[in-house]
Amino acid sequence: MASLPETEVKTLTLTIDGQEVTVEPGTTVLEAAQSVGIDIPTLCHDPRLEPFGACRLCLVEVEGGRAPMPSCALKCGDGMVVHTRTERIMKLRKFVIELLLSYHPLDCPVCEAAGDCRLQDYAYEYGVAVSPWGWHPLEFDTRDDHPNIARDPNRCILCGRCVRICREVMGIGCWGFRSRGYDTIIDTAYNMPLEAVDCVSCGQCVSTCPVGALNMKRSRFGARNWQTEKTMTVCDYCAVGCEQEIQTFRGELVRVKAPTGEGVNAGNLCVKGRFGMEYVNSNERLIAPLVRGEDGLLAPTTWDDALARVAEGLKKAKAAKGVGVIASARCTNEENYLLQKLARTVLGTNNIDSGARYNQAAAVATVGKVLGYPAMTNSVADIVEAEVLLIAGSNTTEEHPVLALQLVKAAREGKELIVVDPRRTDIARRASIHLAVKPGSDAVLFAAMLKHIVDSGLHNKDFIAAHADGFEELVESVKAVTIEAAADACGVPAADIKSAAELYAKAAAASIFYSAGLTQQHNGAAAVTALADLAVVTGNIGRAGTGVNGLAGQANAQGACDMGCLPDYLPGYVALDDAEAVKTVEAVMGRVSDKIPGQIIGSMLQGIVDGQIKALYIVGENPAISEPGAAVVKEALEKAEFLVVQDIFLSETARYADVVLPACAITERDGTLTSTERRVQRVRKTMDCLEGAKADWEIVLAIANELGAGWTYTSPAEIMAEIALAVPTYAGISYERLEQGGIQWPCVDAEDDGTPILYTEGFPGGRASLAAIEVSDASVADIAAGNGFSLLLTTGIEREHFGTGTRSRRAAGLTGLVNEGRLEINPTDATALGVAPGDRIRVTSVSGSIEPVAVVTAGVPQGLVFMPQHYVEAPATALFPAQVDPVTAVPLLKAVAVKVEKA
Amino acid sequence: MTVVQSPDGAVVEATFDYGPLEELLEKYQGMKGALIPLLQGTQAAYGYLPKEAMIRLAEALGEPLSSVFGVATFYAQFRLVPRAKNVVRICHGTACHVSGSPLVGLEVEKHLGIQEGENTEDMMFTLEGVACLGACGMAPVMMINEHTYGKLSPDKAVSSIKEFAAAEGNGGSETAEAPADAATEGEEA
Repeated sequence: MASLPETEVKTLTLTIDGQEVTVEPGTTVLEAAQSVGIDIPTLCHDPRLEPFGACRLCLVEVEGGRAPMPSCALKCGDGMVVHTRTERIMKLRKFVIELLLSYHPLDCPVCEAAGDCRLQDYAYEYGVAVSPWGWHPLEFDTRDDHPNIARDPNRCILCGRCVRICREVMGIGCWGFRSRGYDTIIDTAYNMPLEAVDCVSCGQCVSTCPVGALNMKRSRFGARNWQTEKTMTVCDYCAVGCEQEIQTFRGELVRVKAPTGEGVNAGNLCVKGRFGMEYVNSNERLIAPLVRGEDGLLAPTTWDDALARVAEGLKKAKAAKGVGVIASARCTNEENYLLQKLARTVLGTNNIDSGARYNQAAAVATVGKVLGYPAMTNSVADIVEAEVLLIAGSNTTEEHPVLALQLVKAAREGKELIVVDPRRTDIARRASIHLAVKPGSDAVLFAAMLKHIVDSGLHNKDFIAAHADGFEELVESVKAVTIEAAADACGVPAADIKSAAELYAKAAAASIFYSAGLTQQHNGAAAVTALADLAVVTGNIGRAGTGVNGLAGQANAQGACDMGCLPDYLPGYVALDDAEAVKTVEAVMGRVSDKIPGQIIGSMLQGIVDGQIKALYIVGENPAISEPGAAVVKEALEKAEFLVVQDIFLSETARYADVVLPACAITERDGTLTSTERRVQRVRKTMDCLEGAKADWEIVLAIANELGAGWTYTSPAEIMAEIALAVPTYAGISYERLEQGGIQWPCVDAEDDGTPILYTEGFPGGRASLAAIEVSDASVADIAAGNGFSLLLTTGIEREHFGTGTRSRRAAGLTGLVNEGRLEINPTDATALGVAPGDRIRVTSVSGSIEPVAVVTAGVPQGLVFMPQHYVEAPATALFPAQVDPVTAVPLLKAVAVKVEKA
Repeated sequence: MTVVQSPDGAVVEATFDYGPLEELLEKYQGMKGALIPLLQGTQAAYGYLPKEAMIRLAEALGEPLSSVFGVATFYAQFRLVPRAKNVVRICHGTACHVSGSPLVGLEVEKHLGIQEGENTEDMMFTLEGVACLGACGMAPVMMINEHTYGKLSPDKAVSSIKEFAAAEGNGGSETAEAPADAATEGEEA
C-alpha cells in the first residue's frame, strides 16, 4: 500500500503501553503519553521549556529502536510502538534515582519543598531507600541574599530548569552552570547576588525547580503543600488575567502558585502575582466601619450606623442633584455593575467613572470608534503568529510582565519588534527599531508612517475597499505630513520612520500594542486612533497575529468599562442618547432617570470645589494620589459635604472620608474580572472574609436597600445572570460555564465559545470608520517651556509595584525589593546638576514638589526624567496639573516640565 | 583613566584596556560558535579572563554573562584570575594519587598558605591541581613552571619550592634553571 504523501498526514497514531494515541505531528512521546493519562517520570522537563533530555528519567523503549530514548525529546512517529514501564526501563529509572540520592541531602523534614518534590515522589514510587553507593552529600554554601528566594545548591539535581526558564522564557539569564563534574553548581556569574544580575524577582526559577534547591522563602504562615487549601483564582494586579493557585492554611495566605499549562499565563507569574498577594493578610486591613465624629476624628462604628449615615448623606446630595460615584477598576464586574446601577437607578446620576479612566476608557473614543469594540482586538495566545510587533507607549515587561513573555519570545525567535518609547525600556532593548520619540509626538510619528505607507503603495487597497470608510479623508488629513518634518518633531531618524512603516506594512501579520504611555500622553487620542487606522489601512486586523491591542491597566479596567462605569455609556457601551438601546438596558436594569452624560473623576472633584457635587462615594480608588492637580484634589476631598470611601485599607483618600466602609480583599469574595484580552474569568473566595469587613457587592447592595431599592441579589452569580441580560457581549456567560475556564467576549449565547479574535467576520458596524489624524499644536516644546523648568518628567509603572501602592506597598515580598520612590535621570543631566546616584533630590513643577532618590541611568534620554507613580510619600502625579485629553478625558500624566535639584 | 558608560547607563571610571578585546571582537564579528576562540584570544591577550572582558564579551555576543561564565569555568584551560609569577602544579593523576599526592598537595598548600586555584599574596606563586602531568613513572609529581620534580614526599616538595623561591629571591632568572634530576618521562602508569 502506498503511503500518503507526508504533507497530507494531519495526525499520527502510535501505541503507548498498548493504548492507541492519535496526536498532531510534532508532539513528543511524553506529551502523547500524558494526554492519555500515562505517567512518565521526568525531572528536567517543564512544558514551558524546550526539551532538554538531561535527567534520563523519562526513558522509554520503542520497538525496533536500539536503545531506550528520552520521551521528552522524542517526536511521535506514525505507527510507533512505545513501552514506558518495561523491566529494563524501570531498572534504569531506579538507577538514576539511586545516583541522585547518593548525594542528595535527604533533609526532607526541614525542606520547604517536601510534599511538593518530584525527587521525593519518584524515590517513593520506585522504592529507592538508600543508594547502594552510599551517601555523600554535597557541601556547597547556601545563599540567602534575596528577599523572596532561598537557595540551597546541595539539594540541586542539575536539571537546569532554572537556567533555562530564565533564558528561554524570561529572556534574561541570571543562572548558569558553573564548573564541571562533581564541582558543577548552578550559580550566577561570579556568584553575584541575584539583585546584581538583572534578576526581576519573578520567581519563575523557583516555580520550575522540581526539588527544594530554589524555594520561595517560608511565609509568615508557612505550611506544607499537603496542609494547604488550594483555590484557583485570578490575579488582581494588572489586566493580563493570570490564573493563580492561592494556598491557604487556617485561613491565612501561605503561597501563590500557577499550575503549569493553566490559563493565559500557562504557569508563569510575575513578581507581583507570585510575591505580592501578602497584602490580604496585612494587619493594616480595615475591620470596622469608621465615621468622623464631632471631634473630627474617624472612629469605629457598627455597620448599621455606617450604612444609615451613608444613605442619609447620599439622599441629601441626591436631592441637590449633587452625587458622584467613583468605581474601581480592580473590583469585579458584578460589583461595578451594581455600583453603576446604584448611581443611575437609585441615586439618579450618570456621575459614575472608574479607575479605567486612567487608560482603558480611552479605547471608547478611539479604537472603539474606528473598529467597533473598545477593547483589545486579539489574544495573548495569538501573539506568536505576528511577524512584526509594533509596541508603543508600553513598558510591557514591567507593566504587563506575563503578556510581555510573548513579546520577549517573539524577539528571541527573530521577529521584528518596533518599540516607540522615549525611554530605553527593557522591551526597547530587544527591538529591531527603537523609536525614542519626544514625549507627545507619537501621533506625528504614526501619521508619518501612514503617509509613507500610502505614498509607497503599501496599503491594502482591497481590504480598504471591502471593509473601510473614510480612507480619502484620512489621506487628506496627513497630506501635509513629511517624513523629514516628522523626524524632526519626533527626534528620530527619518530612515527609521520609513523602515518601521515598511516593516509593519509588508509583514504577513503585524500586531500593535499600546498602553498608558500613549493614552496619558499629549495627543494620546490622536495617537491611538492613528494606530487603529494603521491596522485597517494595512489589513492587519481580524486575523491571528494582527490587531490593535490596547493593554488595560488595572485587573478589571476592561470590565469596569463593559459594565458601564462610564459617565456617558450604560452597560455594553450603550450611549445615553441612543434611545432605543437605552430602553433595552432599562428593561433589565431599571429606569435610568438622567439621560445626560455625567462627569469623569476629575470633573467630579472640580465639581465639589465649584459647589455642584455635594457627596462623593468612592469604591476602591485612591484619587488623593492618582489624580493630577493635587491642589484641587485636596481641596475637593476636604470640601466635600459627604465623602464615603470603601476600601480594604485606610487609603490616603479614605483619610478625608466622613464614612469609611471596610471591604473584603479579592481573595475573600466571588466574582469575575475581565482581562485585557476580554476574557471573563472567575475570582474565587479562598478564605473567609476578614471579620468586620464585607464584600463590595454586599455593601453596594446594602446601601441600595437602605435607600429603598429593594434589591434581592443573594450572590455574584445572580448579578452575572442580570449582566448577561443587559450586556449583549456577555449574553452567553454564566458562572456555570466559567467553571470550565474563562470566556472571551463577545459571547452571545450559551453555545458561543467566545471570541479570541475580533473582526474575523468583518466589523460590527459593517465597515471600519477610518478617522482623520488630527494632532493639536500643544506640542512638546510648549510642555517644556517656562519657569526655567528645563527637564521633562514622565511617569509610569514599576515592575514591583502597582497603582498608588495601596496593595503592593503592603506586601513584604515587594517592599523587600523596592520601597522608595526613585527618579531616573540621564548621566549627562545628573552630572550637570551635580546629582549622584542615591542622592535625595527635589523635583518641582508648577503644580508641586516631591523628593525622590536619584537613579542615574542612560535608560532615560537627556532632558527627560522618569518617576514611577506608586509612592504616596513622593507622588509623581502631584507634579501634574489637572489636565485631560480633550477626546478621551484621560488625565495627562506623561509629560510635565520640572526642575531637579539636590534636596 | 577613561570614563565609560556601561549598557545600563552606570558611569564607571575604567582603567581597563578594551583595545585587544575589541580587536578580537572585530575579527570574530558575526561568526557563529566564536565564544571559545574569543575566550582563548582574550586569555592570550590579558593572561587570564578579566571580568571586564567577560562582561563585554557577553554583551557583544548577546549571551547572558552567566552563559559565558559557565563556558569559561567548564574548561580547565581558562583562568578567571591572573596568574602569579610562577605556577606550581600538583599532579592528581591516578599514579600520583596512589603514591601520595594528596599529602604532597596539602603540605604545599600549608606552606604557601593558599588553596589550589589561588595565588599567594605576593603574587609569587599560583597553585594548581592538574589531572595528569604525563610523568607517572616519577609519581608523585609536581611542576614549577616548566620544570618537573618527581618522586616527591611532602617535605621534599616544600623544600623544592623553598629552594626555588630562594633562587628567585637571590635574583635568579625568571625561569629558574632546571634541577638535574628533573628529566621528564612520558610513561603511563
